[in-house]
Amino acid sequence: MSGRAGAGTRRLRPLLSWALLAVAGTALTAGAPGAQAQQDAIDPATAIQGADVYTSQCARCHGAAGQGGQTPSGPDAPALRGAHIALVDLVLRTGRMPPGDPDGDTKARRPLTDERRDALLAWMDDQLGLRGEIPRVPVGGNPARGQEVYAANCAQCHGSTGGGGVAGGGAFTPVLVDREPLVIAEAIRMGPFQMPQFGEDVISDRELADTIAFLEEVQGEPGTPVGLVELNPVFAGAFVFAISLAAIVSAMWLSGRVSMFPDAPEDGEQP
Amino acid sequence: MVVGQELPPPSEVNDLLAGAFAGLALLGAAVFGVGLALRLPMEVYGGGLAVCLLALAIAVRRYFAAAYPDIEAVEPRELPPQESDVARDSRLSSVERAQPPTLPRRLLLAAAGVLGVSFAVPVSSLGPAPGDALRRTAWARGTRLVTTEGRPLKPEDVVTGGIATVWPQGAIQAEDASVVLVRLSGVQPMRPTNLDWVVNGELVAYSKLCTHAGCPVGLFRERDNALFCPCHQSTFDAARGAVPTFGPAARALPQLPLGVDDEGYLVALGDFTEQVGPAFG
Amino acid sequence: MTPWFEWLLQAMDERLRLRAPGRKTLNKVFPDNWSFLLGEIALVSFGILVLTGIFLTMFFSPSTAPVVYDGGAELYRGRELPAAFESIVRLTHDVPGGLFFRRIHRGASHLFIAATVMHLLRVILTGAFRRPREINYHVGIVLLTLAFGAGFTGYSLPFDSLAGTGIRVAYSELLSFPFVGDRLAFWIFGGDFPTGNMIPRFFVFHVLLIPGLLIGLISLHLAIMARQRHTQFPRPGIDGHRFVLGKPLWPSQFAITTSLVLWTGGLLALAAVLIPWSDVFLIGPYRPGEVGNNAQPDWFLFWLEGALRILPPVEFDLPGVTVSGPFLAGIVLPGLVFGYLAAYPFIERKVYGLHGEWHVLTNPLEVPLRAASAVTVFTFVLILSAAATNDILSRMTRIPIETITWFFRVTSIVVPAALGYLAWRYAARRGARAGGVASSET
Repeated sequence: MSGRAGAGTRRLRPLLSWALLAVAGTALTAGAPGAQAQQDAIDPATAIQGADVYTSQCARCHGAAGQGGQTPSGPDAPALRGAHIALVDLVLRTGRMPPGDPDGDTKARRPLTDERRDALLAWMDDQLGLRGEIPRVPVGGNPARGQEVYAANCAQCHGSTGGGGVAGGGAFTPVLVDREPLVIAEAIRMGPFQMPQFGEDVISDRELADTIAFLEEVQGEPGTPVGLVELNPVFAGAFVFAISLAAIVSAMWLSGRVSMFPDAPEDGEQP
Repeated sequence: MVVGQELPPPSEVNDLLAGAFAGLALLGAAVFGVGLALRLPMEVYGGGLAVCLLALAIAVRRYFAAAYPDIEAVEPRELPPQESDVARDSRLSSVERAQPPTLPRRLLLAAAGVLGVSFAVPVSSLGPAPGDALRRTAWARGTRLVTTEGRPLKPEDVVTGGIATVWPQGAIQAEDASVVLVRLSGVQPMRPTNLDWVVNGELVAYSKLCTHAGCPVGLFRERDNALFCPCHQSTFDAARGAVPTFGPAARALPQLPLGVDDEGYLVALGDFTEQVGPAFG
Repeated sequence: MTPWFEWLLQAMDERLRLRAPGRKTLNKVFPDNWSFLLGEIALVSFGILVLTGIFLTMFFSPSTAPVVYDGGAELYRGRELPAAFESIVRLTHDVPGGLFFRRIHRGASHLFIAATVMHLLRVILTGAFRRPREINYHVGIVLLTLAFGAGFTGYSLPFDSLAGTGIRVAYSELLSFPFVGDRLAFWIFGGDFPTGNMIPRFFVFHVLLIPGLLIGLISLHLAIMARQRHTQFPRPGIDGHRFVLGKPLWPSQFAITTSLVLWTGGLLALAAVLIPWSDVFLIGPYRPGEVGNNAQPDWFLFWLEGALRILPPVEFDLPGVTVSGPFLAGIVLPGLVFGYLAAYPFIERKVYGLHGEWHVLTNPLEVPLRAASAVTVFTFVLILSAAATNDILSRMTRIPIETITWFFRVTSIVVPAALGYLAWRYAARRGARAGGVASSET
């Protein structure tokens, strides 16, 4: 389990440029800045912390005013002004942003602490005018029902038990177990990057809760002594290989005679 | 015929090993039986059985090593008969046969043959004739598109870059009628898409049954509007009539004639005009 | 000998005259080499399959009709499930030992097929298929295909999402059969996929038809082997064409076989505790239009699956047959491989102009045709098998799946051909030094 979070962030790496493009697209369609509803004023300490995080970790690529720009490694950094708050939150929570090293995009990224992230979001919402709101995380879902919703809508990309998979074209779908429920909800509603979006008419709020409950059930499923819960046929094949080897060794041990043929004749030793 | 025989030297170590492993096997067997009866976790009773059998294998081997000599023996093979033997009498049976009458023999063979063939007739009732079952689906003019839960959909229910698996109303989970409904993002549908069957300029529906081996093509990459089959990685371009762009599929996914009825719900304008799913025959 | 056993033997002997044939049987000589035990491992696995299978049959309901599960598993309580899947959930969750015996059954099925394949490799490589053993070789090949059939139907019966997808792909391959594809598929499935008939029929195949044939043909296989005696590795000082050298059934081989039975059972029990194969609990039941990412068949069908994945897009009509991916990968490929396997004894005989009978095994590295054939076919099948894992490889290496697919498209042709050529060259040189292929004829 411990490797999953790390693997999750690593696999996002090649998608970065697309991530940026997608965010840019969202921002472009968001309409003019300032079209936001009135925001409550934020607490000054939070504002200072948020501004600090933004200037130190975001502004270099996304611009001081969130207008977008270029990353040192080349691809465009999307405008953040008017971006959807759930998408920004998702990107921050999964650790896709900010990069560990703003000069060169490093692979291993650690998400911001909850406190710093919340401050950053509050500041961005206040100063850059993010649109939309963070979805509610419905609770009390039914995992049995969730299995059906999951199998119908999610399994094709993320695997039958949330293990992640391939999507072709260099795209990979992330692991879903051990994720925060809020991240699942944001991803379903936002459809980040290559993921399609699922509106309430395709996955209702109740079905969303059921799906989250199913993923928690998968997480809680007891594994074998070697830590495996469920086995893809490929990995089962690897175990078959191991057992076959064990069988060969057993046969050698039981029969006690290993060599089959007399040694090969040496060169030049013509019969 | 024994050619070599080695009596085992008396060895206390060997006896000790045989005894110890037999004891371990006894313990394992008890853990298995008791564990299963008390419904303890599988690790306990399964582990008990595994230990029991493995220990028993070693104990048996040690026991035989102590009790019996290691024997090497030879056994003659039956060699092929000499040519002269074959020539002498090629018949299996030594019973002489009278000259058989021809007609009864032919009738006998004919009866046996006809009987054999007639036994094959009930076998044919195992399956119906295919007819046009593989060329038709449950879609018809005016059939509404519904989700797996049976909700009919309006065009606006599928968000941009969104996807939904839909069925003909009244035939939910009819495998060959499964359809993916896709709202393209960032691109206009192009030829060879049938543009008359596109709703709102961006909503298209394709058969979900892969034209390669019949898996459900359910993975949608929003970035390049690609439909991807997770079974064998066939990739189709949803913006260009679902023509295959990668993988083993050679035929485009058939496009469902899509329209909107008077109440604003999505409907089919008819059945698929091409055969869905893999080729046959 | 204990008095009881003595009494029983006496009583039997008076009625059946067992002593003379019994002594002959107990004195039968088994050649002494580990590779002769591979077939025994397959036999032991088959026995374990039958025993655990009887237990599982008591609980399985062969039907796809919807039933409501009311057992103790949180994830499925109150849900309507196909009866087959429901009975597997019940067996897994509510029957003591149910999951354990299912896992042993699954593990034994893997080992049965793996040991059969290794046994076949031994027979092919060492030339144990040569006259007079062609009949038994062919019986063995039929046994292998039956084992594949048993494995596939067993994989399908739980009717989980993977199983249903597997059945669908198999149905597509049947459809592609020349001339009668659609009729054949409808005939076996009782209609258009998915029918209510398919699981009941697969059940009959899996627990009656195939095991019955397997038991009959295994008996035949053993009877022919006993009649013809074992082959023999060359050993100095003994003419293997006239004598078998080895260990008598009693006590030496009996001790080995008994240990082997117990040891194999122990390995499978251990594997059942450690390895969660056949767990379909989280995968969920099959429903049309649904499939999980990373869907594969069992490993022994990887080569056909790999071919399905890496074949370039082809589809064109010939009279009576549509040449398509499923046709090439599901009909032509297994037809060619099994056809070549079946024909090989005659090909080798013809190519080297051999006659007479052969009881002493030969080193495959001294027979160019055999070395080249074995290396080419085996690496081809192996690379195709690897190609079936392209999605997992892509996920693990982060290389786009298109690149990996192209890699396999190229290597599956180039590598077997190159290695086969090298094997031929090497075996030709070495064989010439050893005195030629026909040097150990009877």
